[in-house]
Amino acid sequence: MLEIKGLTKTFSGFTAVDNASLIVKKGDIHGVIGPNGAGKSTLFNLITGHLIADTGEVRLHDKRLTGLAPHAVVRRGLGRSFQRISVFPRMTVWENVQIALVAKDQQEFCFWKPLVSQNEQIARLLETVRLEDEAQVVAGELSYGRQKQLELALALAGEPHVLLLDEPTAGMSPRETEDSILLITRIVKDRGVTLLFTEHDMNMVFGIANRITVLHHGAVIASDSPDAVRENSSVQEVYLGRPTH
Amino acid sequence: MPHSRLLLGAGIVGLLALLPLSGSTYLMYLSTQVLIFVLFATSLNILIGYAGLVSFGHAAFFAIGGYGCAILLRTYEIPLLLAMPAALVMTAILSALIGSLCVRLTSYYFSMLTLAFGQLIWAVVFKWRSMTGGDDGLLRVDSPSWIDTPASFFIFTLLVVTLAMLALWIVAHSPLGRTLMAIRENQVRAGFLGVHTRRVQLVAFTIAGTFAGLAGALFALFNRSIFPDSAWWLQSAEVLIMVVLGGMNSFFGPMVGALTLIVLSRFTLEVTDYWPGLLAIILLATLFFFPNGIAGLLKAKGKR
Repeated sequence: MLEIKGLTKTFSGFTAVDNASLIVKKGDIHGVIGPNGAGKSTLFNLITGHLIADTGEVRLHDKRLTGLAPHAVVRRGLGRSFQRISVFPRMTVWENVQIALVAKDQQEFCFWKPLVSQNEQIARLLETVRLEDEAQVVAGELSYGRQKQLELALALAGEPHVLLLDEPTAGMSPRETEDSILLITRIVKDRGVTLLFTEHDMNMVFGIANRITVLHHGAVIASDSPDAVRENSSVQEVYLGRPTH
Repeated sequence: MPHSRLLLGAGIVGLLALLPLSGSTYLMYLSTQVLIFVLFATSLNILIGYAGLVSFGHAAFFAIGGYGCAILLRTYEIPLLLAMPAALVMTAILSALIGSLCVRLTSYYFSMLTLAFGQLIWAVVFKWRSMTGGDDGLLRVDSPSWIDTPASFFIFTLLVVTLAMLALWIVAHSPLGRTLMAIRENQVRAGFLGVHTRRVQLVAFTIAGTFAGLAGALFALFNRSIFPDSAWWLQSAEVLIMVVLGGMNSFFGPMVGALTLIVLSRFTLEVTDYWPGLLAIILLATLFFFPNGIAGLLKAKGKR
């Protein structure tokens, strides 16, 4: 479904992503792991068009995404959340989701009639991410974990086929982490979304993923089932930082 | 809530329509001028308040509309009801052209670019003597006889401005208006919701420019003349001050700003020459003590 072939990105001599290839199949919950600076976020930014790759390509449903601007990538069926929270902080939760729906319906150029609120759809999305009680709260005043939930709603509003989550539980308390893992897995299952995510919390990755890709210095050193990755000697060596005996 | 506002608006327009009964020519002039600047300032606020794009060259479009209408009317003797729409189409095209270059940049760079284009338009107006009259301006821009008196021109302006304000209100509350606010808050996120952010800003820029052009056309008719000053950066600054003073976070703020500034300057100039000094003090007080402008102040009072 989502195919990444030979992606490379260098920043003034430093190779952030090095000839990375991986395939995400429909229905997969695919985790990307690797130490800090392994190139996970860069890889995501290359997929979503926020960065332009030096070489290689990304295909979704066998159509080329490489070279498209972010807004065009979204239109092809990709949704994403950002590692650092990215919502509309001075708007209410309700208004945040409303914007996402305006964008999804391609109504953003419509200036000749007042905005009609799609109350039902907004309510349903807020219910999905369990923010129905905070609908009228200004987004910037929500707790960190709740803002992450809102981001999820924004990403889901576009009804993506593939959802990219960049460190969905970063900065959360253990309790929030657990809640959000449950939430994400439930949403993925209910909506039949394919999920590609990065995460530093190993328990979470091995707990929910059915495929795991390991990045090291920007290169893919393993891309396999969780068990196979766990057993992989080079993964143990370079990623877990201890030699195998 | 919107219904009560609509009623309030209709009430104000209704009362204004009775103004000619006062018989005061001075009042007619003053009110007409206020109305024109209400429209000009509100058009700028679509950019500043909603899109978060601070334009230092908005007078360029005011002048394009004004000169366009004046030239068509006076030089080519085209009737007003054709000349005005034609001038608007011209302003829209030029706004879209200039806007397409300006929205490529953000924040300060956007502002500087609008300033540069504003001055460029001024230079064109100033130098293109055969068409614009250069620094002599265009005189004898005569309205047709049906709006030839202060009272009838006031009623005409009231009608045009009311319709234009209604249109701008719809723009501000449309999906586009809401999307502009989202882009202002977080351009990257808006882009990754699928919004072509620059193109949305360009549409807003074109709308703002076109309505400024309409204000400019009215202004040329009102003064029966137009001069290069109308494109000069000071004119852009003046309308910017109206927006800030009135309050950019409210649709009606710039309206209050335009009214306050014009009335205050008229009365002050009657007693002293120190209006610019007083203006500076008012601006400082606004920025320090009520950054949301008069409208923000009134809102806060209302909530208390």
